[in-house]
Amino acid sequence: MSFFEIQGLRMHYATSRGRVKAIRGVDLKMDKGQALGLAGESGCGKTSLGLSILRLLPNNAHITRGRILFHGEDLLRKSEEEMRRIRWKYISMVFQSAMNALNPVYRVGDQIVEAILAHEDITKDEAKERVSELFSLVGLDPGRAGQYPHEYSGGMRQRAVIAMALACHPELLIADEPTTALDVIHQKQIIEKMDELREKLGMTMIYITHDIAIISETCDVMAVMYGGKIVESSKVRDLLRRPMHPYTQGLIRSIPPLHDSVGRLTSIEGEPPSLLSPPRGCSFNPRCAYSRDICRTSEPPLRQLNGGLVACHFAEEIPWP
Amino acid sequence: MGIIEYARTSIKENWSLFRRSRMGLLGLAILAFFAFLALLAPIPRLIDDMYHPMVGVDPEISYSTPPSLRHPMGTDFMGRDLLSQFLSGAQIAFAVGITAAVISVLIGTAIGLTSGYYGGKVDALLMRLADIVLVLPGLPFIIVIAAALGKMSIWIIVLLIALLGWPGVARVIRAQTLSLRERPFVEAARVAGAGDRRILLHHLAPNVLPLTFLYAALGVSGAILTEASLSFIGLGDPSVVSWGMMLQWAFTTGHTFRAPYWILPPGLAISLLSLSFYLVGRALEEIINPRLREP
Amino acid sequence: MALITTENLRKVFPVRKRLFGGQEYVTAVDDVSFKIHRREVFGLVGESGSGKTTCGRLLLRLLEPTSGSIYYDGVDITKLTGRELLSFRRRVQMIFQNPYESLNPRFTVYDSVAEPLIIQRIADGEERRRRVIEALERVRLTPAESLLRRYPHELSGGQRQRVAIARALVTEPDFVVADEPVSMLDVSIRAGILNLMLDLRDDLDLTMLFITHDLAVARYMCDRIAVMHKGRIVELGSKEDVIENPQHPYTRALLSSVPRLHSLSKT
Repeated sequence: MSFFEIQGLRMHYATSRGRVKAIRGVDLKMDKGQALGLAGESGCGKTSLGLSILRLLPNNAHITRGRILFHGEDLLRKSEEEMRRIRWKYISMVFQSAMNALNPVYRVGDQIVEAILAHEDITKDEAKERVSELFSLVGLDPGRAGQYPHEYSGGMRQRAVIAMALACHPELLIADEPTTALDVIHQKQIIEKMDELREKLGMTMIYITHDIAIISETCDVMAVMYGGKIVESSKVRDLLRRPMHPYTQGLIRSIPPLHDSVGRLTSIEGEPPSLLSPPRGCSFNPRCAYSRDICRTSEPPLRQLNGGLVACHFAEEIPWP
Repeated sequence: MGIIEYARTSIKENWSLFRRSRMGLLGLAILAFFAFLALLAPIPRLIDDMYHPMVGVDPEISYSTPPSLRHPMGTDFMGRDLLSQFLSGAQIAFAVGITAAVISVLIGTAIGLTSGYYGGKVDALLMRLADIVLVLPGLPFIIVIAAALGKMSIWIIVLLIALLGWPGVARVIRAQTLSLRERPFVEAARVAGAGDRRILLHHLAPNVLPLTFLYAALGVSGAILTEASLSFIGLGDPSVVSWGMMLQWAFTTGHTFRAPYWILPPGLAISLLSLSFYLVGRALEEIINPRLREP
Repeated sequence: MALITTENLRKVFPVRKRLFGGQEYVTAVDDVSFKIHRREVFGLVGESGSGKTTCGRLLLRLLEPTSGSIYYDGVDITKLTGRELLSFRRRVQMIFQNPYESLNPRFTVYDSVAEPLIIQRIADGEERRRRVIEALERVRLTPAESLLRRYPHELSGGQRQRVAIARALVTEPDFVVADEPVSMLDVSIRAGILNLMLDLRDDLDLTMLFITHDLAVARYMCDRIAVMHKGRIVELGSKEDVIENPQHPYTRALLSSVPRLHSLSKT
């Protein structure tokens, strides 16, 4: 039994213009202590996947198929009451906008104390003690626990939100673009802190981001999402050394390097697919330089290749310099 | 592109959203019903002079009678036909409501845009003016003016209602303008060399137009109710038959509790018609402000 | 010869007024001097709040400097008014960060691209239409005719930014300020927009001020880079010098914080 596993998950949003098929069959397996980087562009379904795991989806979202197994138990079959006990305590999440995650009218420390007391049977003093520890853990001055969110800078708020997410020592942390709103210097500090904490607490982590470079610095395993599906996944080193899916290749080619000068970047033509009416066959086929007839008719399955997984009919034939 | 063209495409786009609001459709249905009645208003007096709502008196009747074949809704205390008065009331309600609302929304939009866009002293001055008008107690103020003027014409009433109604609109439009003004497309227009006039008319005005529609719809309800109240306490235009006026005649001649056929139709009509504009307004609001929309 | 020269540029914004006591100020741009040469892409790099965006807006006279001068082609533009200002506007343009926000949502593609022509009274009728189509084709939005009557919400992010670029270039300006033009776009379409801007620079002999927080993008786009921190330029030099041999501690901190794609090239 694996620690965490997603099997055949499908999910759509019912909207006035039709069904937005945000997750179109996702399989995923994680071992305890692993860090998985989930890469993809806006609208590829990566945020929806994170929200599905915690069952925090809006009312118009419908999970139609699949299982989300945590310690072998299907989270999709849990009652709302059971889920409430699992959130924070066992699985917790850091969102992109720290400002929205903190209530402006309560002191930051008190909010975390409340969260702890709601889940654990300890005294208020013990909870306060824990908040001080958490603050120093994420690099915040514990003396500022008594301040209000507006007295914090953006970087401090994001740290506070991470402290809150870690308050109950969760086994699995889902971080959705936790540093996108921050400057690079703060981003670096927070990423390092999260790495350190993961080692210290033995936490498992899903890191959702559009920035492959961050994944390459923090994660063991990487999965690339495109059009509501995982199109490639393997160990980060392997994947970056030899990307197999044409989309992953294109993504890596289109990122300007900092230290080596490139001649000219190659961009991926076209636009990401609409999840309202995804293309037939492989969802990348309209933008793919290698696409042939079969790509327009048959959807490639995610299959084993070179120690990783890839969903492309011609992965063996596509070169990488 | 101009405001008119935008309004056309916007109505087309939003109709499909509007159709989903049951309350909005109900409001629209009631509104259409009364609009139809208002269109019928000139017909009775063409049939016979005695059906004239103001000066037509049935020669055989000199007191209030219940509905009959000759007078489907009955007659008032001196034998005037209540149906033709009722239809005339519908006409007045629309005329007063829509005109007053349009005038106050036009004033409010112009002042709100100017105030929000220019800011500074202009803003301070206009908004203090709005505050002053806003805190004037509406009905008593009109009553005092009416007393001072002696005889009221319906158009003076409309004007007074409009002049009291704009500050609310101006405040909302100003707030909207303040946030629109900071949007990059306004700066992009300035980079292109656009002056204040072009930015106001081409970039800001079309973007506040949905709000303007909304306030116009809500304003009609208020105007209808105010006119009815004025007429009921005897300060209406005596040369015009409105629903408020019908109620006033019934009241002053002591028919309030004796002639339900006389009291109920105008009373209900006032409530229903103002309700209908309110419902339409709410449905528009849901379109404009998607957060109110149910998922 | 330099197309733009700024001398001791300063911009101070008033912030909240206290009930008692005076007005408080924040200095967004503090004693900034630099030159931008003709046909050069000059990069202004810094984090949010460093003053780089304010600096770009000062160069276009979207903001009035508190002190200092800006010479454009030898003329001090801080003193221009009326006609002269309008003809200055014709020669400079701006590309904004967020293509979802910089196009008026009530304007069609045609309206947006044609607006500068209308304001500047450059072309009308058929000529105006021809110029709009030409501008759209230049940014590789084809077939251009089919896009003319579309609204921004009907376009993808990449298409919107191309429309915004077409709008900026339709009056054939000499100088363009690009303020984080790709930071809101998806990774896979960024390279396309960057390449387009480099091509247009070559085709139209543009001079460009490129504002970004992303050092790798700056390296790809720019000839010279200035690093801004707290309103001041802390380092200025060729892109190779600034990135490979940074002198100022802040530049070094910035460079060491950029996440790297490990094991991509050298392992």
